[in-house]
Amino acid sequence: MRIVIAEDSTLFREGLASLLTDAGHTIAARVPDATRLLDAVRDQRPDLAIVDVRMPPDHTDDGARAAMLLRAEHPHLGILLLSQHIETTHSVHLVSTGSFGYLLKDRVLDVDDFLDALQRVASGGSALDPEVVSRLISINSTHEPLHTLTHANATCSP
Amino acid sequence: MTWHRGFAWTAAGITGVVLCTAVWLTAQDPSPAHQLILAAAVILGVVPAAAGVFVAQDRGTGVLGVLLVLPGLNAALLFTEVLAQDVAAPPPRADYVTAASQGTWILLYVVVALPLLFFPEGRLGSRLGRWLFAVILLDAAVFMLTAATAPGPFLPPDQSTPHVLGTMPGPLATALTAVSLPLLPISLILIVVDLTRRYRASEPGRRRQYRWLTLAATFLPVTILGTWISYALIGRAGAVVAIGLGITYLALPTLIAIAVRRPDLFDADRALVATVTRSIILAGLLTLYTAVNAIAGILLSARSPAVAIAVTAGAAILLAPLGRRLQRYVDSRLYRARHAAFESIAELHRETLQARAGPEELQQRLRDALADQTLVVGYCRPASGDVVDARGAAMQVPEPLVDITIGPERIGVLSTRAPIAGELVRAIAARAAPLVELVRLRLELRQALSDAEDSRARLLRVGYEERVRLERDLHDGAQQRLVALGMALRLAQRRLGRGVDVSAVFDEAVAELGTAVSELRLLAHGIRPSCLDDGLVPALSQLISTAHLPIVLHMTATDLDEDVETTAYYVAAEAITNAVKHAEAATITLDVDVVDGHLRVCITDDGNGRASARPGSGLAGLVDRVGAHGGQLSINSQQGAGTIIEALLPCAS
Repeated sequence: MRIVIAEDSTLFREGLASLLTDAGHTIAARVPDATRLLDAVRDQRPDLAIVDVRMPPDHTDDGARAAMLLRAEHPHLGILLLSQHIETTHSVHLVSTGSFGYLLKDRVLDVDDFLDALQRVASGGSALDPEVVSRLISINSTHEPLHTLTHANATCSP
Repeated sequence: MTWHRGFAWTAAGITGVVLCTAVWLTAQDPSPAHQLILAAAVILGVVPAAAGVFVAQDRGTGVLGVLLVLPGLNAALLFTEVLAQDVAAPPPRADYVTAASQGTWILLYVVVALPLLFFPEGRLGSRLGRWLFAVILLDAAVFMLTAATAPGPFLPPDQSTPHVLGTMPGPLATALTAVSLPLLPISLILIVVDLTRRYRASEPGRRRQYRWLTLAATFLPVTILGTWISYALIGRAGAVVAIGLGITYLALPTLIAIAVRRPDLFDADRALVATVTRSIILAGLLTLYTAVNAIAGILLSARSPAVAIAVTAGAAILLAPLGRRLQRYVDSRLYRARHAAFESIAELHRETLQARAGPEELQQRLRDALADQTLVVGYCRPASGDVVDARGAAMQVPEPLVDITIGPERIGVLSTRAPIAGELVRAIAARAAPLVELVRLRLELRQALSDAEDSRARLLRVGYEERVRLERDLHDGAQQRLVALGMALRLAQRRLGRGVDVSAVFDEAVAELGTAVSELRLLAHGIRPSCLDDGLVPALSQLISTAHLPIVLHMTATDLDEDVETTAYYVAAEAITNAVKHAEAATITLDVDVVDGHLRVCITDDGNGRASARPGSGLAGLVDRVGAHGGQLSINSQQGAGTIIEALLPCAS
């Protein structure tokens, strides 16, 4: 599988690269920020992009925003977001498109599960961290339209 | 224009010579009657002369000074002639002098009328004025001519003097008298009309001067009133009329002199109100007295002064408390501005005490009361003395302004460009002082509160930013390294399974672990310097040892609370960083001691100065940190003269 890694921490990026190389994957490109990620994907046409959420230039959710752009440009590209903590603003939309995964960084340490997740995402499936799932559910439930109905609306019958 | 002054001095000098003659004459026969006449001559001669000379010192007064001396000279001559007739038995006057002086009494009025026409700039200020000047002079000449040449004997005691200047036909004399005599009061009335018109057309400063004339004018009704008193009490009024006219003669030049040279001496309007009030009370009592006398005369068929005096005295006692109310009433009628201003201040005071209005409305209330939109009230900040408006915004108060004070301290300023007497502005300023002080205290309180709120908000923001930084440092630093370490171990594990040498991977992993530990230590130090565990002295010593320039430490404080020590440490650390990084200092002195229950941390450097607590700077953060501790941080830094940063922190020891 051809993979692009976007991660600003050299340490983590190189560690991940050697782990993946070791597992038999090809690292098509390694980039340290969101802008170069977009260029690299355009050039390399990889099967999968592993993207850190917090990256330069803004050090906020640049990775997640870049993922949205990638999805628009390449509908079938596998995208795996990695993060130290959960951020859900952009992931709700991406989850529904398929070929998408969102994991906490320390899941990398369960190497076999992690490699499985990569495979799933690259072949059109999804891989969501349990914490991401629970967060998405709780967000959806608070945005449930029925919850915003007033008592009068709810009891009224035709 | 100095010849005006010369004339005034000359006229005054002549008056002096005349008065010296009067003194010499009195010395020949110093009887009480003569001394009385001399006193009258001196007073009536000297006061107008002094006033005239005083006015003439001002370059802008033209002939006004001379005109003011003339009534005095006139009076001095009259009285001296009386003395001369009485004392020296001078040779009888030539007949033509007697004849020519028949109508000269009219000059008594002319000399009073002229200064009014020439007021206040010493020239005829209007077309009507110029006409009146000509008419009055012509009228006086015609009248005197008629009096000197009319058929029939002269008035007593000159009835036997022959008509040496000729005799005009009887009907002509009658006609001329019929015209010239009424023309005198008509001219006087027209002078008043002219004054009123010039008053209305004049600018604010001039208006104040005209008001003094109004005060002078009140002496005439007072004289008439006095005449009435005199008739009621003693059945004669000759002396009163003389005294009343005398006062008018004195008052006119005096008040004109004040109006021209010192229009702000005191409040003309207030004097006017007092005079009118007292006149009304007097008139009331007199009416009562006359009425009681008359009724007693009818009822008891005899006039009974005793009863009338008793009733009047009783009424006077009853009227006394009414006097103040009457004064307020007259105040409100005659002097609306003063009354309205004082009432509005009193009302605002009441409403403030009842919490129905704020003292900040003072300016608007005064503006409404005085119908003066140029009025401005400024408040002095207690600490700086800066003048601010009621909302605390800095302002420029336009001149002229009057200070509002409590004791020696200036608490505010009052300014207006409207034609309000300086004395009234000062009186309003005095009345408004308690309200101004109230506004000032409220401003100060509001400022202190808003400072505290700002400081709290900044502390919260700093705290939040600190937490964000901490979270980021942990995520991007230690946590990342630990994950990487995990990955290295996994990599080693996988390679080990395949029999590959993994010692290089382990070396890398241990190095990673070491870096993570030192990063965590730095992070913990940022939260609270662990060197403080052993106390402030070792912590500061360590701080000094890491700086790359000599720092002298004087430390006498011991046994401090931990939070005080932490704050003191941060002050020292930030100030030293500042001195080293920005000020390029060569030496730094650090003093830490306890003064009056406060820990004093003072950092002095010899750098290039220019340190300030700019928003967002490290020093601004220190100000908040020290403020949150109830302390104060002062920064004294001038370009090229080094910097002294001093923090005072309350401490128990």
